[in-house]
Amino acid sequence: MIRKLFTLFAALSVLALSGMPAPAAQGYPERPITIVVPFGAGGETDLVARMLADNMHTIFGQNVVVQNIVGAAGVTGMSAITSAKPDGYTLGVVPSAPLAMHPHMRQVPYSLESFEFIGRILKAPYIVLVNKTSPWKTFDDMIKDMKANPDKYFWASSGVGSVPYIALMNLFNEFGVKVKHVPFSGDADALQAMAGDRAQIYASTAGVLGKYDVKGLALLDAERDPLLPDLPSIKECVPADKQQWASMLYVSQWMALIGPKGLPADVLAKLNAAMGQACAAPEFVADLKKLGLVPGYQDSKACEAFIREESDRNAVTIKKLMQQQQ
Amino acid sequence: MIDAIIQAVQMTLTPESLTALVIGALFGTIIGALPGLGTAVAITVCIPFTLKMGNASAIALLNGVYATSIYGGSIAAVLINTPGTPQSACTGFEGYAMAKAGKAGEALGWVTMASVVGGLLSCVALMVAAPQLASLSVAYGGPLEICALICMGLACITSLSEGNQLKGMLAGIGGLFLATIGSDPLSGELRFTFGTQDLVAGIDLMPVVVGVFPLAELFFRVYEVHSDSTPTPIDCRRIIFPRLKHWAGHVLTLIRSSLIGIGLGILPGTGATAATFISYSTAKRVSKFKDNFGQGEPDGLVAAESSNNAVAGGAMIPTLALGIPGEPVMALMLATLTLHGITPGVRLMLDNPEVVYSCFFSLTLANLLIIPAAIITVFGFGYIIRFPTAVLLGIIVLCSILGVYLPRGNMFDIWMALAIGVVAFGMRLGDFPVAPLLIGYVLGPQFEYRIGQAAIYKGDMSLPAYLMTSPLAMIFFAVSVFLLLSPLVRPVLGFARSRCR
Repeated sequence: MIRKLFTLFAALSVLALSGMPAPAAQGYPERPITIVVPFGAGGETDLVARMLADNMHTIFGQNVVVQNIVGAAGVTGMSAITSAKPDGYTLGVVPSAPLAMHPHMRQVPYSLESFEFIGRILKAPYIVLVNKTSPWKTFDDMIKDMKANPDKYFWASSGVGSVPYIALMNLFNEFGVKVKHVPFSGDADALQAMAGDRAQIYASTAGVLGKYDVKGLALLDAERDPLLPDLPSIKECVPADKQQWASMLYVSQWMALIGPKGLPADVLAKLNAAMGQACAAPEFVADLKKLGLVPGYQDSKACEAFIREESDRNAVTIKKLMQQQQ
Repeated sequence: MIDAIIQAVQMTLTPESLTALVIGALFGTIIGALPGLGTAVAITVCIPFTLKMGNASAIALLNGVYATSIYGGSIAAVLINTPGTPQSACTGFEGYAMAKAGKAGEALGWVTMASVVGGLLSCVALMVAAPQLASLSVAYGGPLEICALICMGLACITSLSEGNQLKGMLAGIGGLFLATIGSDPLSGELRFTFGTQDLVAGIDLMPVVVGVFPLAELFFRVYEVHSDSTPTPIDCRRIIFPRLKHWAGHVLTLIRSSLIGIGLGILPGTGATAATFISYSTAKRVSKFKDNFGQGEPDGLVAAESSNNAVAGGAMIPTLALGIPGEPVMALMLATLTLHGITPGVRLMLDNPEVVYSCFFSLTLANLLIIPAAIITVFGFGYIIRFPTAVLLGIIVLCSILGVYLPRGNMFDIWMALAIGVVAFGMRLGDFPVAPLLIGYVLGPQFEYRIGQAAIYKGDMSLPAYLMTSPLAMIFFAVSVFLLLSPLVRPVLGFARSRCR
């Protein structure tokens, strides 16, 4: 009996092995692809990943499944991507913080070298926000008032080490103004405090403009956003003699599709093509718009260059801020 | 406005929405009732489906799942003593005691009716005064008020650990310490992580809840099997609803608890857990039947259940009117609405009033659907609890592990839940109450973060001057002090009185 079972098992395993895809998959994808999201279901990253997965499913004709692996501020999910077999069946959709910021702040078990970059999905520059009823009409008004009244105003962040935190902290430092920081746990809490005038300044992306009673004073990017033509870019707000540090103030929220290091070249090429097609699909663009996000597709090469540049700039900024705190 | 309401009713009463609502309500009740699975799992499972649905159906599905999964947790609390959510803990105290006394059907009847009424009252508040209540949420949602409110929640530990205040306090402090693991909410500094990545963001809520309730209960039952004590068999063939005449004496508790639930639901950051514990403790102090609390008193069930279901409507007020979720689950609701092109927030009531009313309407229907869903689920559960112990325990293990793993897909959470389960089992053997541990753990992070903010706002002001800026917070602090000191004062008073005689 035992022997019979053993033979059966052996036969089954041979069958199972023969069914496995060859290393350089000709007909990629032959089975469902998993996209790991290092944050919880229903969050912004998760929703974008699901929308992308949906469109890639249409293109590939294979199921593309989103799996949320949450924990340790994104590290658990990132590790799940790096430790996966680089065969193109495990990918990840990740935002900027765990990829280009956390490695500069604390020890994490991965670096940019652990990943293959398939493409950037979107990019949304941060906006300096104040209450709609605020007396400040321009960015300049705000800075002047802050210089005249040091430590009078409060700025909100969605937690120490978050992207808005780094953005505003750096901004106030460069302009040499004194504003008190109040950390909140997430966007919602910070915006609630803005509504109650318990905080006067916050930074977030364009999605919040229509949702809350806030107005933007400056876009933290080099150019104006075509969808928000009246919002000056920070480059315009920086005095002419200090233009050299303007580029240090650009901060944006972005998301990228990545995979573990060592994806076969043909798989990467196929993914690159499929992703470009998915990101250009009108439904995808429309869905992003509903979330208040603008597509910012970049292909594999451009995306890698962009992320490296972001990471290098974050490294400088974070190092400087950390030194100040000590 | 009338137009908008009619449009909302039309939106909600389509076959698709109603189907989604009924499926959501049944699914929510069953998932909530399974030991270890709760609202988080139910919503996580539903999110992918909502992406493919129309507006009204998606809202209906989420509302159905949300309102009923909170309720479902109480079925498990009564029948198996395994609350699936922290807010069902109080239900467990009274409900399981009633079940052991052979009154499981009655206990579930009270739980169901109290949940429905609490939920409906909160829907009424939502419909009548959402904008006004939302502005209250902004005005009174400052760090000092929230801090004071959390203090009140923490002080409730004293009334939950009567008979052994010291052990209750120790458990509560243990919970607070457990909550300090991870990054400091103000400085971002990492604490007590022992160098592992897994603890960087602290211990998630689910492993703690599942460890403290279902797993500890499981270990305890295994222990019972191997010890001489005979376990009490629990039987429940059907749910027995309280008759109208039985409500006499419970109406006041019902209204008070619902109001507490609505009020705390509106304020950000405290949620259903604080609301339930505060309303249960209040009832324990002022109820006509207070001497029976802890031994299976329906009034306790009414207090706990009406408030935790009232939180649903309360929490929806700031979510819809301001775009600020009053509860973590509401954040998911918010995301779903946004994805359907509906932007919750200040413009919603003006731009899409029909969506707001459709939300209210489907939440109301969801609350009413609790009754049939309860009858069906309890019928099924009646069979499950009669299974041989080994099978029942197997089901509990399976569901608990799933409940921990599903929302986050993180293996570490499972090990954590098992470890906490062993600790909680040890606590039960040593006669330590576990609910205070959970209260401390749930409220700890919010408390730390809010008190830190309060310190920033206080700045150079003197403490009395800062406290004077918020009379509401002063009242909450005063109540907390009273709650904390009363176990010390009461014996002294009693002693003095006996000397006088």
